[in-house]
Amino acid sequence: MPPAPPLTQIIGRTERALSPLMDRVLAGTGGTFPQWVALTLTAANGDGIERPQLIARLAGALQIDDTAADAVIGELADEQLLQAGSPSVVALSDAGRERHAAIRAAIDQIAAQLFAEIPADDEATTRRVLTTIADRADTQLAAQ
Amino acid sequence: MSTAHAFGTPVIGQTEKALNAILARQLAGTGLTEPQWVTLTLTVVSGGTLSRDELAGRVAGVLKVSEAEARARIGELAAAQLVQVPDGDGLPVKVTDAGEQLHGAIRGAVTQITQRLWGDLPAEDLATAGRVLSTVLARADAELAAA
Repeated sequence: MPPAPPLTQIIGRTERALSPLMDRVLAGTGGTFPQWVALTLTAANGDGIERPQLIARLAGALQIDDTAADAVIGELADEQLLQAGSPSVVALSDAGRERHAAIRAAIDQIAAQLFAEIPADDEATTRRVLTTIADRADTQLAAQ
Repeated sequence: MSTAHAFGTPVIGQTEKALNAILARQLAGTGLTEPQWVTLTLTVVSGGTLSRDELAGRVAGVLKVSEAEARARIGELAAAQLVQVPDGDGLPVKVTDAGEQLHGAIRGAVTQITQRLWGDLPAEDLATAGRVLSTVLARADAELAAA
């Protein structure tokens, strides 16, 4: 048996395996992965979010530039999944809420299988470790 | 309430994206792409025991690409004289001295960075995270293979 791969490799491999599973979810519900992330960030902010703030968060989450992030929001607006709350605020439309809930439900179903019987403590530890690493990596990227 | 709900996949995806951006900076200037780096690493780790087809199978599994694409990556490394692919069928692919050196240099730089990212976290927590992710990876692979 080869030794267990280092954490960097296991994170990369896990992400590469989860990504095609996510594509399957989206093939059933419609939408792209960046659109899903934008819907989630909007939903997470409650009733609505300032467009510049959404652009910044989306760009950070996907490691893309602001122009690309803005284009994703434009796509969602064109599909009427996002609507203008006030001139600078975007919010989920009813259709957007439905799309978000459908994708969320499909992901939950897969996540329940993937994480079945993993002790809650272990999962919490994993989450904490990954969040710490991601935050530090972001800081390091921003500093250079 | 299910904690899988709270966990989901975003935290893994975001961590991977941030680490990848860091790796991309380390690879800049080496002439290697990320898939080539992964291929070189798998060749080094195999210790010169895998034939081209066996190595291609492993690369395809890790990168989630076709075996033809995996063979193309091996071919690129061979063209760059970082690995040596013997002519005969079934003979092992070996890393060249240049490949060994390049791998060691990148590995060293990456290790320095990962040391800063998680060197101070409890070993026990890191082991738990590795174990949980390995389980999730195995299940995700099984799910992908089943459909």
